[in-house]
Amino acid sequence: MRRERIRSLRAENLTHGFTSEAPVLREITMDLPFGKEVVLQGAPGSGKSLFLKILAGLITPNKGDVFYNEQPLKEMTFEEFAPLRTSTSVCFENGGLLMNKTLLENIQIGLLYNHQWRRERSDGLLKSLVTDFGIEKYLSMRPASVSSSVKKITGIIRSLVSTPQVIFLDDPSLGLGENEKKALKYWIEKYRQDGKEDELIVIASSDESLVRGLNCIRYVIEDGRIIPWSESTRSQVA
Amino acid sequence: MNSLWKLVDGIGEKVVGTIRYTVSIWTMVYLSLRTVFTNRKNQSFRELVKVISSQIYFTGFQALPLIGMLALIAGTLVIIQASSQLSKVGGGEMLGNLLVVLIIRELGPLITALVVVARSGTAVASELGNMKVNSEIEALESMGIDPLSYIVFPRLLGGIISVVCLALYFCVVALFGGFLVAQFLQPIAFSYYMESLAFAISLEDVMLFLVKNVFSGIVIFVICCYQGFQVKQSFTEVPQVTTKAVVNSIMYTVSFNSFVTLLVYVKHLKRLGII
Repeated sequence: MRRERIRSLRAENLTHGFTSEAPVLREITMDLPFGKEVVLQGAPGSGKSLFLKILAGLITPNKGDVFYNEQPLKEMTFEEFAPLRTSTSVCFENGGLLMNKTLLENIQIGLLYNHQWRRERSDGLLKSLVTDFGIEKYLSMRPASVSSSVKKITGIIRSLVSTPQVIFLDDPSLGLGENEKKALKYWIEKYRQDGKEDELIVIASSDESLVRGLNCIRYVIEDGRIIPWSESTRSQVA
Repeated sequence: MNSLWKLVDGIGEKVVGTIRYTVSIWTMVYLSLRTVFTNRKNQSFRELVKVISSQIYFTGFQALPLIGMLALIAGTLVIIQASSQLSKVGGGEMLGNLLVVLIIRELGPLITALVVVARSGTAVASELGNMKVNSEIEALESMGIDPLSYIVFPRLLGGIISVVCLALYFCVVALFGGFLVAQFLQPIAFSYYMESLAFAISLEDVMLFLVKNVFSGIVIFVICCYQGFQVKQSFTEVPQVTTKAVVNSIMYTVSFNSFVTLLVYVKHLKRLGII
């Protein structure tokens, strides 16, 4: 499948909740800046992950829409969105690994299925990622046999190995040790340095130790609305 | 009067609910086929074959011992009962006809469907329910893999192939294994038995066998996939959807089998000029 370049990504009047009386997100409008890392912060349950999944096109919002290249997602079929979608990747909070596949198969499945596995390039990148995160010995195991941090790392590697244009990371440092966090930071920085101006990483995380040091634009989700981060919002995030 | 309206209202609600449900499951069948055939170039055929073959292995191959045992018991009982009862009324030459009607048309498709629902239907519904809670379905979507083509279609196709093969296996074991076991209790000449069967089997029986089993294969697996996808957030929903999948699969399969049998007998009665 051929990937399509994403030139713009925008959310407009997004409102979503599990009950109509108390929406988690209220009329969020946001233009995501390419060439940057965007960090979404907020208290637990504030809707960071939900917003991330809506942006990735995994959840259809109750109201409003997400626009990829000014095309509204609600009007696109799965097949129409697929070339744009394969230019993105998502790392889920719980890893989102297929339980009946080994970790290696989990990492490769998307690229193999879409005929996007490039033998030399993908193999080389996979080897570097696996070595840096230290999960070589687990690759032949299934998710049920490994710890939650290894599952999480596998999810991170899966989202990086496809070299997407837009990466959505949902609480990527949750449950990781110090060395693994260092590796994660290194790879985020490396991705940004290697990347061109039209690449974007969106991270939903309230982990200060991860966010600190990243050259990112921070936002806070508070009472269902998104506001730029400031020192005064820090206590609410914590 | 009020209670009568409530009853009518309740029945109407059930009927509308059943129609909606039926439309939903057939829409799912249509969409999964459409996704696979309209999007052939963009997906890995090898990955699909892998999932289909593992589905056939779990649903078909692993069910062989259970189906074989049930077929042997059913075949033996039917052969012994049919031959002893028919010989009492001097209808021994009808043995083949009775066996074909009972085993190929009715018991084969029905028992196979029930075994597949119990073994594989439950497995599919709970597997998909757990995948939903674990964000596995979302993960597939995020990688550009359509769950309809990667999850539903292989299960449907694998399910149809398995059900048809298992039903065929059931009939073979019931007719020939049953014959061998029955020899110990009520000896029948093999040549006579084979001749009786050969004269009894018609193209109509083969068609009925295929229609019933293909329908069972589709309905069992699409209902179980559909129910699995109904799980929203919690693992506690998984047993509930699994139960619903089993109940609905049995209801649809048994209703369809009965309906087809009824149609065939109405046709026979018409041919005989009774109706």
